[in-house]
Amino acid sequence: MKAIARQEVKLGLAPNLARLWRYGLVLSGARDVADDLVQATCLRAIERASQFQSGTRLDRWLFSILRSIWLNELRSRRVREGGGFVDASEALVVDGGREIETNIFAAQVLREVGGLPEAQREAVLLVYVEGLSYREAAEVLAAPIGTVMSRLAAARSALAKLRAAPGP
Amino acid sequence: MNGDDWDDQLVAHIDGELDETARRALEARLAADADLRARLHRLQEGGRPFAPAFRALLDEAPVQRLQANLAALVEADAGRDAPLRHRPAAPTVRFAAAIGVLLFCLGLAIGRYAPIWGAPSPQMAQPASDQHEDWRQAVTEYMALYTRDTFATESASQEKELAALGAKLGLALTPERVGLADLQFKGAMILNFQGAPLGQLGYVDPSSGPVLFCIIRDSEPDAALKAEKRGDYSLASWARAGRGYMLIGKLPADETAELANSLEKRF
Repeated sequence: MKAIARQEVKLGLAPNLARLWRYGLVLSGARDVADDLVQATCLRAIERASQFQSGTRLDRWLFSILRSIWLNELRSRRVREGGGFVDASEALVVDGGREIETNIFAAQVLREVGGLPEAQREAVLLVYVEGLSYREAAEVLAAPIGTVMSRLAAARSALAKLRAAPGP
Repeated sequence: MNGDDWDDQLVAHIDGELDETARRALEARLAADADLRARLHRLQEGGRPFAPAFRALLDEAPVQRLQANLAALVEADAGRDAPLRHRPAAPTVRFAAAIGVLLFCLGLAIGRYAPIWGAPSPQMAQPASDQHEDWRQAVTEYMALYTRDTFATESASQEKELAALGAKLGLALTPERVGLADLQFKGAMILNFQGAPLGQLGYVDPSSGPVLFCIIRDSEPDAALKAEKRGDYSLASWARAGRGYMLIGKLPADETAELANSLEKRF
């Protein structure tokens, strides 16, 4: 069984790389950190592949790993090194050159979400972008469902204020 | 319940996450409470087309680089596993290598087409020369998964394998035509790279280990024989009549070039 789980994890990593990277970018606001997070997540997942329960959702499991590496290792290191944080509202914006007309609205949404605190950005990504249920998101966050709800409520309140009073 | 708690309930209502009892209770309250209706409206205003907007970030992911890093991790892990095997079961090793190839090619395909569900990007189309480079890079990456053990068991039906592979590639392949001086021919495999048949002939060199001679039918423009070094491997490649050829191994560069030279005369 362990061998099967290992194989399942190894084969399942490749199709999830882009989504893991996006999660890493939403958390860290920095592309190089997102790269590192994906690499560390792959390594950890391969090491711990025998802990993966075959038949459950691999992407959820990988999200939990990435998140725990971010919280326990990379985030503190980044702060300690004085790197600080890139303004996430900038980091989430796609390259200007690619902002063809149809994408202007998308870029605005990314900017607005990027301006939210990390915990709210994360909840928005997991529930509204990745489509996790509250329960699934709570499992990834290792938090009660109420936490997911209040973060989404706070995110929606903040975004509603932006609409009420559009910036300059 | 204070205001924030109501907001939690309202958001769960918007997202369809309330159970039947809670939903009915909230709806009854909403019917009677104009302030609460205003709160609901405000939270609805905080909605955005999040999913389509975030698709653009998938385009930004450096998938090919992440994929190459992953292939290296998988390779290192395979190396760590190997000594744990009780017996060097060649078919298992071969199977693992095949999985590695599959994984890698899958990754490349995903890298090329990611995001699967995303908006079409004007940057998707790659110059043909890159594509022709990709398969060589793919072989170089998965070559690292091979050991002498991969080819420990000589294939019993080399002639049949060669004939079947030749049919895929449109070439008449015989043991004589693919023979290489001091190297022992071990067998042929039919692979596929992004829809193009990719043939792999495996050899073992007594001193340096596995050597692969690969042929792809992907309408490559003709190219003269060239030699190069990638990491620990020496490569020699050329293209003729819509087929790309490549010889790779840990041989000294001049030996690879010499062997490739002799093959190039036959293909």
